[in-house]
Amino acid sequence: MTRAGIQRLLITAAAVLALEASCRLGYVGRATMIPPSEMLAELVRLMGTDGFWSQIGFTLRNILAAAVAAMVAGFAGGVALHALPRVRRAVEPLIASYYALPFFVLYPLFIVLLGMNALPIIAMGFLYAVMAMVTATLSGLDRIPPVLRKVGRTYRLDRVQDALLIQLPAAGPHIFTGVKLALSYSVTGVIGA
Amino acid sequence: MRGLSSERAPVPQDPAGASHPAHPIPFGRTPGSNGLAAGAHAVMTGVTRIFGSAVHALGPVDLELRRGEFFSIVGPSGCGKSTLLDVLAGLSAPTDGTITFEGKRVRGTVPDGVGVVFQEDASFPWLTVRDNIGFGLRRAGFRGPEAEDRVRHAIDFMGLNDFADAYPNQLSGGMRQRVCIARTLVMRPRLVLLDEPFGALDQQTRLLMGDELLRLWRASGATVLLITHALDEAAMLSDRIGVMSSRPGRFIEIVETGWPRDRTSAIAAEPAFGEVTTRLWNTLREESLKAMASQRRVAG
Ligand SMILES: Nc1ncnc2c1ncn2[C@@H]1O[C@H](COP(=O)(O)OP(=O)(O)O)[C@@H](O)[C@H]1O
Ligand SMILES: [Mg+2]
Repeated sequence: MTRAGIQRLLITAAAVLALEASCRLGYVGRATMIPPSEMLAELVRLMGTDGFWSQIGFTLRNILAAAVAAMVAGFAGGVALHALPRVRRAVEPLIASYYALPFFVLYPLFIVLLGMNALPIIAMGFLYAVMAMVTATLSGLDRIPPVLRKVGRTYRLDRVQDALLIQLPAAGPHIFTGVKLALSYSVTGVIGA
Repeated sequence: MRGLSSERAPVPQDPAGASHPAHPIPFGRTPGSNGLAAGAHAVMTGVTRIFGSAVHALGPVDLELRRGEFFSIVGPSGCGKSTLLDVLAGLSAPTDGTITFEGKRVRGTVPDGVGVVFQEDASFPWLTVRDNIGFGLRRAGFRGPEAEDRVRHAIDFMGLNDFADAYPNQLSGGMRQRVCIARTLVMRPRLVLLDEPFGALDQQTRLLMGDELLRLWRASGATVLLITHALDEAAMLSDRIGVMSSRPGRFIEIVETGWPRDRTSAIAAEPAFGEVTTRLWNTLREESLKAMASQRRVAG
């Protein structure tokens, strides 16, 4: 392990110990937070019960479903907005303020619309994740150097070849960032819901 | 047919790298041309390019590139050189005028047989040097040992052997430009357009690359159009040099050097070389003085 890694580990351990001590000594009330050691014990107990692993599996499945849907829709949305600059200008304010919207007010509505099942949960995860994918796709496409498009034309690529062989790989790093973000945002959305 | 060039020194009959037997001929001869055939290869007639409604970038320009010649364009920056290249290559449409390549109108697409090396770094960062250079061959359906051979030779010729499996971001700007030159030349274009390809290189490397370009030009028999801002480079490499005015760029003079086909950068030691550079310099100096004067009139 690197020096920095060891230091990070020690700092984390010290913080957990300090938290444990302040809970035990009554600086932090039980109603605010139970001591970390009791959390761990409870987690071990829960892992022994039936239903725990199926719950975990259920949640993971929901996260995955939300993330994949967000990636596909976000990518498609990003490509479409990039191709339609007028529409993009019109929705730019929505994109910019998207994460300030209180999605959780929609949750009850989703339950009414979609039923008491996994769908409303997935929908929440999707809503959290999709715009991260849209913005990552847009910034990836914006940053393709125009000269690469010209190179494509000198090799007489058609539009599909140009998209697959030049634009997609050129925007690749940004789109990959979008994929990572979509995954972590859908975790937030699904667990929150 | 060659009109003006009739007073030039006699052209050696076997130019295919014979004067440099130590080197392989990596890019081979361009099929369908022997480099010596006379006549117009690419022609621009009354070409202008106006961006939007206000920026008159180019023209009107008339230019006739002779088959197999080495033509350079010099001119102040921003005068429309890159714009001329884009229009000639079919990458952007002229506002007015016509372009023909090998007798056919150029319209909207880059004709087969035209290769372009751009001013900006145009290597593909997601491909290795080898795959960058082989890109066009793969697109054109060339695969197998012959294509691999061409790519290997190109890597060798460009001095990229140690970097064949490296990615462009591991290379210097000059090496990336070599990758782009190789990627264009493996296609054996009959007309090669180069936009300030040595801009990122130091002076020594520039000279070496200039010699290599001459060797490639002789070996391939292709027609070369080189855009450069270095007057000595233009004087050293070219059969003819077009001097452009400041924007909107027009040709104010076309200088014929009369160099033998079998030349190297050593030509820079000849008295005639000094005459050519002086002439280019004087033409450009008058032009910039005029441009400055007219700017002052506008400002005042
Ligand atoms: N796409 C464009 N839109 C508007 N103006 C442009 C565009 N491309 C080039 N220009 C302008 O046209 C002029 C000529 O540009 P360029 O051909 O790149 O010059 P050079 O290559 O000689 O330096 C410049 O004034 C430049 O700002
Ligand atoms: Mg330019």
